[in-house]
Amino acid sequence: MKKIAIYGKGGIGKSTTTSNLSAALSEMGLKVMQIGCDPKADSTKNLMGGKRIPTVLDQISKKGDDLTLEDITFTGYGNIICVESGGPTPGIGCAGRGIITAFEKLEELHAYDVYDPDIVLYDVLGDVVCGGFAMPIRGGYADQVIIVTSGEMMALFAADNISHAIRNFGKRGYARLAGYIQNSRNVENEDSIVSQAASENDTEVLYIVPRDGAVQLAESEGKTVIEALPKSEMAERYRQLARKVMEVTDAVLV
Amino acid sequence: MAQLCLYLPPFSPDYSGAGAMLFDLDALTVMHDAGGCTGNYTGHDEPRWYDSKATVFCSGLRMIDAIMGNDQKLKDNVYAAIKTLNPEFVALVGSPVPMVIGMDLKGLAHEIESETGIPAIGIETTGTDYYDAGAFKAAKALLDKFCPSEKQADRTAAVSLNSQMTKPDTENLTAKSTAVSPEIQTTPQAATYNSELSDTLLYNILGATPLDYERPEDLDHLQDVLNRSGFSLIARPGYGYNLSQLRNMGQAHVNIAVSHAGFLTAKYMEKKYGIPYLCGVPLGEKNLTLYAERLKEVALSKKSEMFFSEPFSGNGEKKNALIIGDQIISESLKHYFRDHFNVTVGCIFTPDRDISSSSVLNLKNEKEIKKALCDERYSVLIADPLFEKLLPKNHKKLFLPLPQYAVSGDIYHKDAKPFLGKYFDDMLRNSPLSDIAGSNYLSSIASGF
Repeated sequence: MKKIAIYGKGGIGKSTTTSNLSAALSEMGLKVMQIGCDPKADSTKNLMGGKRIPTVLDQISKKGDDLTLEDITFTGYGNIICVESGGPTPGIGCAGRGIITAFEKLEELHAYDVYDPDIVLYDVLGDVVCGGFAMPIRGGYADQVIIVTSGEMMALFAADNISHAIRNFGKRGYARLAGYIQNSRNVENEDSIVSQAASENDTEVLYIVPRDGAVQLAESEGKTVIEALPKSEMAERYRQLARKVMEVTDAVLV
Repeated sequence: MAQLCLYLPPFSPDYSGAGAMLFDLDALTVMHDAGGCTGNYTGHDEPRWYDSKATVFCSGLRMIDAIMGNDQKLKDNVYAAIKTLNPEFVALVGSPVPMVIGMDLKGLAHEIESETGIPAIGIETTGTDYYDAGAFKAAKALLDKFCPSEKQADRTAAVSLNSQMTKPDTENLTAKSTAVSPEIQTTPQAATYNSELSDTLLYNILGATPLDYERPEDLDHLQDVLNRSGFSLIARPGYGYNLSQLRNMGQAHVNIAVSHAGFLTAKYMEKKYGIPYLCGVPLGEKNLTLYAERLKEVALSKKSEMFFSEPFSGNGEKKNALIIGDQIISESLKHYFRDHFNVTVGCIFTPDRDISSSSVLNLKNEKEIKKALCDERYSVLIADPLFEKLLPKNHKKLFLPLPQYAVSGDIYHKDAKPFLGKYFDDMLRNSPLSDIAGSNYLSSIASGF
């Protein structure tokens, strides 16, 4: 089982990239589980026909000790197992602690043993701002981290912070940084800027995802590009990304 | 307000269970808290604390360190203590604040180990679970660190160690032993038996801590009986063991789970090492022989069993009894009394659906406990004596007091008596139950099944 955490600045396109990556990996015959780690709980929306699924934390609140795995896991496009950790309303509660609680519940219910996926993708909100948001890269969870960034300064700043956090946790046996995915925003000299930023953090740009209207078109249907426009150029780009991710994370195809 | 306790103290939390499991070992145990949790454990939940040397420390976590994630302060203190105490390993034990801020104690332990070369474990207790969950978390962390699963294969080496066996110091188990104990403990009788190494069955006693067993005589007695029956103890983690014995635990042929914490550990060891278990404890002299026979069957068949799994003989005209306490001990008591009472078990700690039994009440707070105790259907009550305070002063129920440190701490500790095996017969003879039906009743109970 390969476990990969995908980080990056809020709004940079993590969920879009992750969902399309999941869809492309499932096309390759892999059993995929995607876990959204964001109180907004919209990571898996485009794998579920545009519908939001109940979150782990909401279901814990409702069902308490009677919660079962079926209450929090949902099968989407390509038989991808979809999970949303969920979290509190903005401004109250503790979103980081929420992620920890959701992860502990998945462990408690033996989610990984029951579904036995080939790949688990954790789609993590924004930056590693507290212990909760580091949860996906702790021992026992993701083995590798991929950072999604554009050439915009704030996105690169966030990518730099995340890279530093991963390095700081090196002695704790946490996940290692596999590289950056450039989700292009058509910034001037974007490729070289992102490449330079990656090399400054001793890593590389794994793949450059171009900006393309197909993404918005597919999302308007509540789908990934792979599902909505499978023959499009953009779908092929996501397939190339999936193959690259498999290659760099040493995953074994089944 | 449903959680409000007017008469009862909070029961022992998970960090106390973890502390109890670590207490015997030469560990630098650091409870990561501001002081209250460590004080609760050492002051109220650990009877061995007062008469022994133990390296249990409070980290002195402060608000600004929690906010800023200043883990370096904790690490520096640990490094300073390591230099002074030279422990065999370091254990970081969690409390509510580290839990809320998502502190990664396992990751920190990994860091401490990589920087000092001294083994370190992180036990992510939260203060929101009960002692049984914490004792299991500690046992699991210890097994994962010191007893890799490949150890299971080499039982021959463990058996050969029996030639060096000596009787354990069971007379001073309330105090922490600072001496190095023998690798595997047994009695002289067992040593004779063990000359035929192939016939020796190695076992562990799991889940034994003072929070369930106030008197170590209980475990000494069980151990002596089993050793005379051809078994040889490897370790009884939590109550008289050392790191060398812990390292050999994976070599056992069979485990005994004597509490809910023990049951959780036994299930984990079955999965990790393939060791079957017998869950439950023998009560009454006669049951000891049966217990040893069942243990042998489990070891040879490799099929785990509940000692209290035999069917009940229907409701009949029997009195109704309520037993409150650790779920495994309570189920064992229920089994013992099955021909005499219709027994309901009141679970006040971590309820476990894997313990198959009818008539289990999940009592989540004082209000529910009081309601159950006062229920007119129950004319016989077996529980910690502190629960009697929830009954009306002039109640007519028969109350068999069974002190449990996890419930009442030191209050009844001096009155607590051993209750396993032969001791249970003694306890019954001197209890209110002896008046139910005179000596005939008692003798019928004492004769077992």
